[in-house]
Amino acid sequence: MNNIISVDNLSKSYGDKQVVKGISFNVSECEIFGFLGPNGAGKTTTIRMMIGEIGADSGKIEIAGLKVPKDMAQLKTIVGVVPDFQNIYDRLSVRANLEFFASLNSISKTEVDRVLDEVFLTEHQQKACKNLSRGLRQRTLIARALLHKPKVFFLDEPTSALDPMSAKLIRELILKLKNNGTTVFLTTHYMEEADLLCDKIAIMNQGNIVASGSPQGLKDKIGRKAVIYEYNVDGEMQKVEFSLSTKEDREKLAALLREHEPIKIHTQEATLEEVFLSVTGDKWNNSKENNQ
Amino acid sequence: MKIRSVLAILKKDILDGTKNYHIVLMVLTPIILSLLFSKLLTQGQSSEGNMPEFGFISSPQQPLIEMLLDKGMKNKIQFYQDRDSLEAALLDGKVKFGVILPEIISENSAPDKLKKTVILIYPPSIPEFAADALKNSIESMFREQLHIPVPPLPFQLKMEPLASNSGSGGGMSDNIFPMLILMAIGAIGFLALPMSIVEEREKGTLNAIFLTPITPTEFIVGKSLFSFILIGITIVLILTLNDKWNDNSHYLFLVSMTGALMTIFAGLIIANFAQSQGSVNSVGTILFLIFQMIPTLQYAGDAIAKLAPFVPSTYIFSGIKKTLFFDISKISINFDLTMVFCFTLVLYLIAYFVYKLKKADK
Repeated sequence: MNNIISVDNLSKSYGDKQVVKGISFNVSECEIFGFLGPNGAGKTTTIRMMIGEIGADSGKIEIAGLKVPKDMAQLKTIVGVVPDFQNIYDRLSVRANLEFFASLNSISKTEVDRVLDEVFLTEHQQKACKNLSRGLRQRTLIARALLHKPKVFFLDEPTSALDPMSAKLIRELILKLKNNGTTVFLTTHYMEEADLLCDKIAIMNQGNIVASGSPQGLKDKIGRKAVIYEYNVDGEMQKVEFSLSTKEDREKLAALLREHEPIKIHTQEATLEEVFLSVTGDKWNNSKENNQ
Repeated sequence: MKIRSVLAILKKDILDGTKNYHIVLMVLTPIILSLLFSKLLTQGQSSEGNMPEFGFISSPQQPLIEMLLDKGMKNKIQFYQDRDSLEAALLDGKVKFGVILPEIISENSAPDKLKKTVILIYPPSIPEFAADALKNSIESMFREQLHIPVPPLPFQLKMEPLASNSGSGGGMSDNIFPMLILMAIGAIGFLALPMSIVEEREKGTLNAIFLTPITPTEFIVGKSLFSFILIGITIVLILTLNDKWNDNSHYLFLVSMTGALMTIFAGLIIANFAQSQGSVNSVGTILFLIFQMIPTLQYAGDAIAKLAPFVPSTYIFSGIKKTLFFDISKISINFDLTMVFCFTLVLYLIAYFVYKLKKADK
């Protein structure tokens, strides 16, 4: 598939601190690209550079063949953005919010009905946004970003602090967008969500991309694979875990198989969370160990 | 510039503004105060029905006075023993003008008595430009009462402002409406507009707006248009509800709306630098108070009087006052208008360069 987003050697500093350190990545058309990383890794800064909100110090960004920020006027017509904060007009109704942005985008008001229907907000359209739940407000943001039928959709932590039902609905919307041919650029802190939705993932840490690939590929490559072997010795249950990535463990497992009849053997696949912690450094555990 | 985008911002601000109690209060406060003061002043005037309008230092046996009393001015005249008590009455608003008659003046006074000087003391709230008009009007009144169709009068009328720095006293009724119009212009220009822009920045809606094809110019024009219309509506309501429309109202609008543009440009400059709504509040309130107080207090003391020519609202205030209370075919407002235009132009240029520099910086 063709690349629709191409980022090359992108850098950005605030004062002396370099928050994005020459990162490069590509996103293919119609895929969901997960952009992961701990807080302060530089994800939001990267997105803000990609949507032209702030300028990059160096590097190139191209979206659908258009250069950022040179072709911003055209880019605004093909890019939809849902930021990591709920920037809607609280005193206005859902419909008034959407009609305002439809006017700015020179879009007919029938499109408002379409997006309201798409995000299941029709019955709430006359309510003031300040009276909506967080999930409904988030759907309003998504509806707003979908008004002009964008080719590329940026979602910055769209399910953050949502109840499971709202989060599920938004995940379904994201998948629906992908199926309709939209490229989705997603940042999230929920690894299960990234694993479930994303075709490709890049993990950012301290301004660098430290791992990238498909979720399965990353789990296979970086994650810990293990076998849990349970057997019986003199009526007493024994449980041993062997890593499949070291020769020594594999040999120990083979020896155990020869000596003791197994009661249960489990394989344990790495999770994306383990991959994430492995490449970004498990700061929490490290700091606990240091304190001890 | 796309008119559609400008109108979209305007429509959104109207919808949002009607639900924003800050904006509603800023519009309603001068209107409610105008109604309140209007009511109070009307009540004052009704009780003033029998109140003397002129304070005289003279003998009641003075032929001129006898004549005025005969002509039905009994209720309009109050006598005082000395200048101090007359001035005190003027300051308290008990009389509108003070007249000092030095010696016998009558209808038949010979032309050689022309040199006799009648001193007319007027309150400090009457600006210098209005003194001449006032003199003419008082002279005509005397002429009418004394049946002297053409000049000269049997005396020379000398105008003297009340030499006091203790306050403007009885001039409140003349100052209140210009003051309330200034309040509307200042509050919306210095506070409502920049707060609305900074609120958009703080809440991040500005980012969302600029992800659409709208340009910064369209956004600023839409926002400014809303404030401009809001000021216009407020002034219309103040004038209508208080029955203050007159033949000069179009000039009143010219002065006020040019002044409104000036405060809008100032508001745009504030919005450019302010980091939060709190800082808009601080800076805007200081500017608003200067804008509001200097013109109304300029007759209260030398220091403020010296400062007043450098404050643009002095000219807006003066222009509004002239259009509300004087016949502007006799009193020119050209100087006030020119000054308001000049200040507006200066602020426009500052706002333009501030935004130009910011764009270049970005």
